[in-house]
Amino acid sequence: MSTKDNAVAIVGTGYSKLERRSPRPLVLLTRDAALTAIADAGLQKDQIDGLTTYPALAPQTKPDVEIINVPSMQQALQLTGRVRWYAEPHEGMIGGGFVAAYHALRSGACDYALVWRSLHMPAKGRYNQPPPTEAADADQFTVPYGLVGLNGQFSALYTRYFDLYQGNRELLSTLAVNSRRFANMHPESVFRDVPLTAEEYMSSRMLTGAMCLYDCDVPIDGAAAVVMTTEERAKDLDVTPAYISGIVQGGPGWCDLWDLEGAYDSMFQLGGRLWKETGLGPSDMDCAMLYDGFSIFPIMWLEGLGFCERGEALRYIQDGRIGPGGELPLNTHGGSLSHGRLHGISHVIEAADQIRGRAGDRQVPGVDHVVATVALNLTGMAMTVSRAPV
Amino acid sequence: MITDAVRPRPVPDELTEPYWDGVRLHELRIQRCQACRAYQHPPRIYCTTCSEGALAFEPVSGRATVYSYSLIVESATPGLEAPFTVVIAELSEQPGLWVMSTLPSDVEVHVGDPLEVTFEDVGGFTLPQFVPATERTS
Repeated sequence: MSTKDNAVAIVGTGYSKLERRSPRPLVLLTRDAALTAIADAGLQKDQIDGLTTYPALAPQTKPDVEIINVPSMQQALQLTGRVRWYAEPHEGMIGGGFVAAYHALRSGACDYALVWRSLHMPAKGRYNQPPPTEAADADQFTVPYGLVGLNGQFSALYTRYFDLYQGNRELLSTLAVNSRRFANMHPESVFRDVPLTAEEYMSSRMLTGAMCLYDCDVPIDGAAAVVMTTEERAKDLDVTPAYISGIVQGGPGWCDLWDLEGAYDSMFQLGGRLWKETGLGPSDMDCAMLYDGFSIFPIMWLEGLGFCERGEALRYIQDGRIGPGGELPLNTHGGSLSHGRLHGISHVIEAADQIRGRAGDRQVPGVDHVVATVALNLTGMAMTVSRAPV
Repeated sequence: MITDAVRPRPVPDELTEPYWDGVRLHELRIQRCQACRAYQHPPRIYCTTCSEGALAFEPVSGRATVYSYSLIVESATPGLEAPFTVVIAELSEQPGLWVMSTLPSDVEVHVGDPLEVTFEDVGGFTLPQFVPATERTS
């Protein structure tokens, strides 16, 4: 389906203050981000008539405190009675929200959609449950073996990748160090003042045999928001729009976290459909914002999207190719690894910031197209953001 | 690797009971569709390959290869002291048919290495485990 007619654009973006821990309630941080995005679009909050988010992060469930769902946001912005479309897609992380908002705008279900993602750092600093004494349901096949939580499961994804494609941590260190370098150039990133060297990466705390601390996104208290509208309405606003020139969603549904082939299926499927839909290709992209909840994800996305062959991305990212001034600057906001855990919305915001010429010291010159992805082996999302509809 | 603390015990349910019954008898039985003959593990309430077939548990060969593995350096599991390696064993019957195993960290494994099943009685319950295959069985 061509996106040229009835195009949709990102017209406003905003972050709350991003901190490891914030004294400010999550609902107010989210309100901060939303009001910043709405003002950035040159709109009044009462013009927002569509709301969408992916609020979940198990086991957190408390609205206003741990999660900000649609009712939380509606109340915090005092939009009672004005909203005529909302959705909380629970698959695809915030990618599902972008896809839903895109179609809602094209169909006329709303005129101005607000997409947001809020993340709360739990009080004890752990998302995982305490050590189990019994293993029921899916856990009965993993926990008695000592496989508990995400790190152990994702570590097997790294191990298989390393074993099959002659990878190692030294090659992978380039990604985390590159992301930190960009985060140091982003005034709103949580690690704006903290550098990271390859030596520090190599000697850092190991979480498993394959993964260190810097291979994981950095948990924060914070929120980010995006305002989207139709091309027609965007032209009436005093802003530079970033057009969504292609957006695809899908994947194999569920696959186990260590399932390398399952994750590849998702990414190759999305990559193929994105380029088919847009008529664009990897060589048209001026930079890339690839979801990096774990450092192996963007490595695999580079391959799935066709920037290099399968198994080649650890070599592709070397020699400055993904850094400032490189052939494909990657995660120029610092990514979830160094900008902060926002579950993919910051990747879309950075893509829009690059198109809109607002990336400050990180600005890639002459940007026409940027690709952004969210999630991995859950149902994923890939989009291109462009200076003009294609 | 194994300490005095009580390891988490698998809690069988209606769906998984036949699997654990087999394990208790030191036999690995995997759920299989009687219509399309596809295996699946963990057990599900329907055949995820053909959707409609009746399901039953059938013994498998116990041969597997290393799909991947995780070296656990910070144990979150009572009764298991780090470091140890969790091996994801892919049964030879079918790709994607995965059973876990716990090995001492000094046992070297690589993706694709042959494995064979053994059974570990852990004081009150039994777990299937996979160890590097001897030449006889590989």
